[in-house]
Order: sequence, then structure tokens, then C-alpha cells
Amino acid sequence: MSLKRLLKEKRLIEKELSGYSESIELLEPVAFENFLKWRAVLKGPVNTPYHKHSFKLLIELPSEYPLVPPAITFEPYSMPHCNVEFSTGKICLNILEHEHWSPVWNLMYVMVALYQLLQEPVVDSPLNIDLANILRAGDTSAYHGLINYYLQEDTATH
Amino acid sequence: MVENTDQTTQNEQERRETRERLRLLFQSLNNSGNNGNRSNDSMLLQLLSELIPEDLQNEWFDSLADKNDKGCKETFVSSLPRVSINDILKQEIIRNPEIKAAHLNCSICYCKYTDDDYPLIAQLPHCGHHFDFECISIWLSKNETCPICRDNLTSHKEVIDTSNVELEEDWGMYG
Repeated sequence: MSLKRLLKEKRLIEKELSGYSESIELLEPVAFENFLKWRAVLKGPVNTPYHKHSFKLLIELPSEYPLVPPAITFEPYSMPHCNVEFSTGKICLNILEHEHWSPVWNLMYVMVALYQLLQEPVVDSPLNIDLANILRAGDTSAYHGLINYYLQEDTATH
Repeated sequence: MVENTDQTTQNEQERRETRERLRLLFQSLNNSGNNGNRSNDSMLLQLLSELIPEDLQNEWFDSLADKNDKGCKETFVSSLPRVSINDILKQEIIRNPEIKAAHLNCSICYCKYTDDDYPLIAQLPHCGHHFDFECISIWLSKNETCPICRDNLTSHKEVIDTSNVELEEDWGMYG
């Protein structure tokens, strides 16, 4: 089931991706022979510290997809965000959990949801506690500063 | 090995035979394609699952689903009303007069109903959302909600059809 459905998604993405040029830079299978592994690049939304940066994502699709959610992570050590574990890239987003996932959603929908997560970090379920604490304290300049520091560090070392 | 009665001896015998057959199967597979990669394993698993009779397979899947402790009862899923494309078209056309049969698709597999010559479509009670029967039954075996609107299918009380009750009473009077 998963391969047939992913092929349909791929066709849909090819048709619709140009309409998402502000947010999604790339969303495609890593190799044509392997449709169960995809990669994506999200653009940093304007009016966030992520603006003018791009973020790589790794997507693994279980063979039961779409009955179970895709496994999605940011590239390790690339995403300073309240709801992302910096060292692993693990994402805390309820729609990616088994009990909240729905098979009518697709990869495009998930990308849009992740883009929204970049715009609106959720401080109540943090995986990066430092950033969440700073944000919760309302210290926006420190919050922006810390994220900028992470992001510059990232571009410097890679 | 406890051999209390003839029954257990017979069971033992049967089990031994099955084991022997499986052993031979493993052996023949090992000899034929000894690449040592995982595609062999999946082939073997597929072969093994084919060995299990279909009704036993279903029972096995059900027991796996039970472990999850979630999902709708199998009787509920199998009793979901089947609808024809025309039925759905009649319902959808109220919302969208432009809609054609070729636009209707299952929201789980994204396949058009018209791709299949004889599509088996199920409609959920209460919310009325429709899916391929196969797709929705797999989903409902492990979940209790409509994939589109999250309506919890187990939350609705069964409607008791009172029109039949009187009829049965009548039968009692004359029977």
C-alpha cells in the first residue's frame, strides 16, 4: 500500500510544490529505487530567527504508511528550536505521534505543519529546554541571540 | 514430553511433522539462494505466511490487534454499510454540483474509486465519510476514529430499532 500511495504523493508534490516556494524548498525521495526514504528542505519563515536559513529533514516511511506516521527528523546539530532535540534532530509534534496521526494526511501536509512549528514554537512540550526557558521568560533578544549563535556555529563548522 | 492420553500423543506427532516440514523448507531455502542478505528473509517470511491457512492468518492478525487493546470490534467493521459510487455521488453533489464520479477517491490510499471495476466502498455511520472497505478496515482494526473528522466510532450508543420490537411481540401472540 505504501509504495502506491507514495507514488501518488510524489506526483501531487511535483504539481503543487511551486505553490509552496516560500516554505518548502525540496521534498523528494532520496533515490528513485527507494521510495521509503525521503529528504526535504524547509526555508526559515520571515519574522523568525530562522529567516534566510534552510533546514534539512530526513523522512523515513514505515511499510505500513499511511496507516502509521512517517518518522521525520531534522539533520542532527542543525536545528535550534524549542521542540527539536538539537543533538539528534528529533521533533516533538503531536501529529507525528501514532495516536494523533491520521492516514488522510500526507508528507506535504506534514511539511506545512513543521513550517508552522518554526513560526510558532510550543514552549509547553520542549525538547530543547534552554531555549524553551528563555522563551517562557519572555527574553526575546536572548532567544534570538542564542538561535543565531547556534545557526552561525552550524554554518561555520559545516 | 508428557504423553498422558492418546490425544496428546497425536498432537505431539502432528507438531513434530509440521516442525520437520518447516525445517526442510528452511534448509532448501538456505541451499538455493545463499546470499545471506535480508531479501532472503522476507521471501522466507512470505512463504511461511502462505503456509498458514487464511482463516488462521486472520485469527493471528486479530490476536495481534487485540494486544494493542485498541481498535473497533471486527464485527463492527465487517458490518459497516457498503455504498455504491452512485450513492456517494448523490450525497457529494449537494455540496459540490460540479463533482464527477472520477473525482471520488479513497482518502487513505488516494486511489480513485473508478480505478477499480467493482470498488468496495464503506461509509462510516454518523459522520458519513467514505473509504475503500479494505483501507478503512485495516485502519479501524487498530484505531477507533474516522481518519477525516476524528469522530470516535465507539462513542455512539447503538440505536435500538423499536419498530421491530412490536413486530416480535405480535409474533409472540400468534406463535
